[in-house]
Amino acid sequence: MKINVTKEWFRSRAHLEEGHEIGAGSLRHIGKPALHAVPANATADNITFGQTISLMRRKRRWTIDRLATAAEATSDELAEIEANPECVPEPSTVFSLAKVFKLPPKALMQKAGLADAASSHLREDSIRYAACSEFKEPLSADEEHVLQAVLKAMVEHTEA
Amino acid sequence: MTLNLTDAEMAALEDLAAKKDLNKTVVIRQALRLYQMVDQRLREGKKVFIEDEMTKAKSELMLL
Amino acid sequence: MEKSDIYLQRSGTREDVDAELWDDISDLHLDLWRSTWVPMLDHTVRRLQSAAVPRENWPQDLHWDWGKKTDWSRSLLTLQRFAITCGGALQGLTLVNLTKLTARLPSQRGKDLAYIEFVSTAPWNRPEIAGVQQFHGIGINMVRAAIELSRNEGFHGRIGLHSLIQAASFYSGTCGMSALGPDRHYDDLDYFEMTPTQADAFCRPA
Repeated sequence: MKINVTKEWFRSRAHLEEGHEIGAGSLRHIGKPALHAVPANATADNITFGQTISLMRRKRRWTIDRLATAAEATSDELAEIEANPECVPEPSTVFSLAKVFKLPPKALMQKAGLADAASSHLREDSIRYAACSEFKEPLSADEEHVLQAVLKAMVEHTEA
Repeated sequence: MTLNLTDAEMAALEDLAAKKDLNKTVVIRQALRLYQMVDQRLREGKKVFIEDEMTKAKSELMLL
Repeated sequence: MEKSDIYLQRSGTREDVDAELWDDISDLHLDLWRSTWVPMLDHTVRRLQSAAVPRENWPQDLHWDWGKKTDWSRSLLTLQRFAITCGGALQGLTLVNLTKLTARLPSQRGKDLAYIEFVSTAPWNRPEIAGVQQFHGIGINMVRAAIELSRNEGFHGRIGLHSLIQAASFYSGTCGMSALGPDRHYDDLDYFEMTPTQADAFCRPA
């Protein structure tokens, strides 16, 4: 396919682009994995539901597609859960994820913001990060530590 | 290449062409592109769903 | 693969330079991407990490793998690729999908369009990465290519895209596209469309 561009056309418009960024495209790309998905200052208290799911998935070295199959959910839904801290997941999806990851359903529901939190230490803060469906790098030591603290808090909260 | 279509298929083709402001050849091309894309996804082991925007109910699109 | 003669402009001096638009992304283009773009992008990532810049302030496409995008697209009729070169260097890459979306603007609802899946310019053309900009004009040439593809396919010039945050003003202001707001299905990126009338206007000298 060829296009015919006149110099007149180009000159009349080119200067308008100077200094501008032009990138376009979905962030859910096929490509190199994003860097660590959980920020360095994450703790069991401020880690979001989506980040928790991301850590649990990556601990198993699963792609989002694989988790979607296990949880009988869609990849799009899980990608949105992981990437968008304001996403409100379907209760059925949270229950499925609890079953897949062998987590207390009630605690995970509270983490997801779907049930009244009995305890303030399961609050959610919005921390944004990029997720990639191919991202399945092993957890760093810090991420492993945060994940263990989150799991411990969920179990303790359920037993309380 | 000559396409042999039934009356119902031709009617559907003409209806789509009118609604989408495309000629019939382009409609056939788009259909082929979509069919190939869906087939590729299925071969990759993925599923293709249709989701109801209101109810979020999902049904799977099957290709045999 | 066909080549079209286009122009870019040297930023600062606004000197016009001859360039090439290719209607595919070849292995040579990918070699150039790997050897010239990737090292600069990786360096940018390390710099941002060292400076502890919050992730939400990073350029959003630093990790795009054009090798994988190209490989994925080559087997599918619905995907068309473009590359821009100038002076032997790779300046831009685009992937367009002919069946991804139909138009959402009320006047065009349901009609087919050429959807720009991804578009990137070389890191040395990006002020937020390089600090300066070597060339500009890649964006308008890629939009023009998408419009011409749309016309060739019978879509009358209709195009659509999801803009990265930092590029929204380019698509609304410079290109004159209609802004339909953040799309929750696409990471809340702003979605833009161009009608046939807007496409005709874009293809005329300003």
